Amino acid sequence: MLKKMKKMLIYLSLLSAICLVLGSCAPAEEASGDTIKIATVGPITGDAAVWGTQQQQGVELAIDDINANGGLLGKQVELVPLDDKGDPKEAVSVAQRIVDDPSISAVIGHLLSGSTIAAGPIYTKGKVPLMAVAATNPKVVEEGGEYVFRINMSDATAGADMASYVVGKLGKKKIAVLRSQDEYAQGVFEAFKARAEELGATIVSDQKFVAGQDKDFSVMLTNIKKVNPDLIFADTLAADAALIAQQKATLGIDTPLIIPDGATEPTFIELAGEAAEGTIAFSYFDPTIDDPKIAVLMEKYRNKYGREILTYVPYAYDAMMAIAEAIKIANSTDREAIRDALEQVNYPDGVTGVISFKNRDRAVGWSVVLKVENGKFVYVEKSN
Amino acid sequence: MVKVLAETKALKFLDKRRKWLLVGALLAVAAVFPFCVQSSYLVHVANLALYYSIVAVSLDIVAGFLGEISFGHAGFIAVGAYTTTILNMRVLPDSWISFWIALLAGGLLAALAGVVVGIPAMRISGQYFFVVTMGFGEIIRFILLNWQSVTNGAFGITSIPSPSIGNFVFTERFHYYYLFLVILLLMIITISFLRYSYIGRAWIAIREDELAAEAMGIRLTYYKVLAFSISSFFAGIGGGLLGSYLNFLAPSNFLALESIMILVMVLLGGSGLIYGALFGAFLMTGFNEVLRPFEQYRMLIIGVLMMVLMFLKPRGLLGRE
Repeated sequence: MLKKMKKMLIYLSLLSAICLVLGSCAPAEEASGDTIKIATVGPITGDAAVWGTQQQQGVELAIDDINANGGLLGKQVELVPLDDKGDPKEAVSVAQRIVDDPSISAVIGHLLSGSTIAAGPIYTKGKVPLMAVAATNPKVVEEGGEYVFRINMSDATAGADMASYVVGKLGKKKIAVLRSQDEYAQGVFEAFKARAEELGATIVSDQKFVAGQDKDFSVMLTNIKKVNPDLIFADTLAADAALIAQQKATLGIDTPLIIPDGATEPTFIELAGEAAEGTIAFSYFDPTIDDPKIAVLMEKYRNKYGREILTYVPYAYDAMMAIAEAIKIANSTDREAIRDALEQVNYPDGVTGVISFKNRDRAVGWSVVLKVENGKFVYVEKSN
Repeated sequence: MVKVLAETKALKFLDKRRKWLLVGALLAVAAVFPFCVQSSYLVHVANLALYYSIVAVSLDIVAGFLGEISFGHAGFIAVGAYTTTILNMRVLPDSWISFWIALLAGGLLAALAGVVVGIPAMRISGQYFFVVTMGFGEIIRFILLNWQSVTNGAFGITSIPSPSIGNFVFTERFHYYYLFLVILLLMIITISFLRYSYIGRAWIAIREDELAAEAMGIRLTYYKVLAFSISSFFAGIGGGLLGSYLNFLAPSNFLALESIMILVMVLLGGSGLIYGALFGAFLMTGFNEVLRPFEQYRMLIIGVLMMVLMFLKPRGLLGRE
């Protein structure tokens, strides 16, 4: 009898232990009702934590502003910050957790392209709207499905934007391209070419190389010199772009050079040295930008966090504003209603320009044109 | 499996019949789990725990049986994951059987990598072995990052198809749950069998005293490389499953930190016991999820918990004192 009871006790305690474990990891089920919950997901720990923190802070600033102006639909907005360590496996866990927690209305983030690509289809399947902030890979939206939107520019939009600027504004008609064989350069190039040709320019030379392997561009550059272009586009990342700039200078080619946002890093100037001078570079953001809305945001950021603003903060701020606008249009916090409303958003007061979406991607690009002068990137103008 | 359970002090109060009961009860819980919880999030967490169990138990062959600290396990997982995915998506014909052939090929190529790394590495041991395996893990990651025409570099491979058997496609989380569970059980049975065969006893002999083992006629290099390749084979299988489960693979899945976490799972649960690695994998995956609300303090808490546990139980939670 005693033995039997002891046995039962063991099984009971095992059972209760299992229940405890299951109970403690089950997410909160019921929506609280008095606040609107918006989740941010990004790397708060790990190698990319700097960017994940920026994203979260940008959203926090937007929520502060929204709540100070009376909130949304008469409710206050509450931030639910979650960490995915920038690891695609963790991203999937977080996405599944959010899908199963009906109190969360929408999600901002996953920051890195890899995590966002892994998590996107889960949000679409679970019908939760996701707003990507910094993932530029065109596949984020294409493969994410109906519920994945993007506030920043995809690599494709960036390419088209560059073409509009150099052909439309600078009037360059004969463009030579030197590009690396990778997905980034490919995405930028295709959109660049389409827009440039649409505006009446021609790609007079298109030469490919293997990133990080081909170090000698003199043959390619000599070929380019023969066709006498107005502009050379080094469509690659910083290290190779710097080599191209250097060898171009050595060969005495004085045609202007442009580089995409992927190459606009201090490394480019460090490696290219003197040869970098005069290069036109594109970027998402620059703190020296002359824009009253950005100036206000910079001031708020400095006051709250005691630091200077960084690249993704304005985009994260606008991501929250886009969702707020969608909630107002939908007049509901229902996930499907927010998603449908996001397609109709046309918000002119975004800090990064007009916010509207076309095929779930930012419709109007907003990029910053910089020029290398005296060993520094100097702000020229906004491209839109 | 029961024999394995017999070696633990923590379960001393159970006799042989009750150990069978415990195994049966655990299997029964595992079999009905997805239907009891009705939450795809919890099933996903269980899937991750099962994946980590597969790779942690495979590492236990080297870390536990052989007693060598390997720091490159993520490298072998990556070889299996990328081989399976690339063969399945680009090389083999479009048929459901392709995935399973590719999975086997992924495991075999990982095993081959185990032999290639193992032969030179096995002539050394201790901290030198640790450095060589860590170097291997990083080399694999850099190959994945830079061999863009095949691996698509840092962008990773997207839209990896889900596996299927005939007309049945593994789409839901609980489908994968049973796939992971079956493979884990097959693996545990194989490893338990090996452990109590001549091969397993040779490994333990080498771990306890290399010189004495050699004097008894055990070929050191042969048995060490064998352990390394079997361990890598199962790691590769785990990787192949992971790719098809996430539908996405990138080099960021296979950082050196991943190797460390898997090693921690083995050591925390108790190395050389099979179920110790299993327990460690479930514990670490559980910690990771339960502590998620603590945001940036999560990894700190996990670190402190690890330290405390290792102080209290230096041979692992289920390890013999």
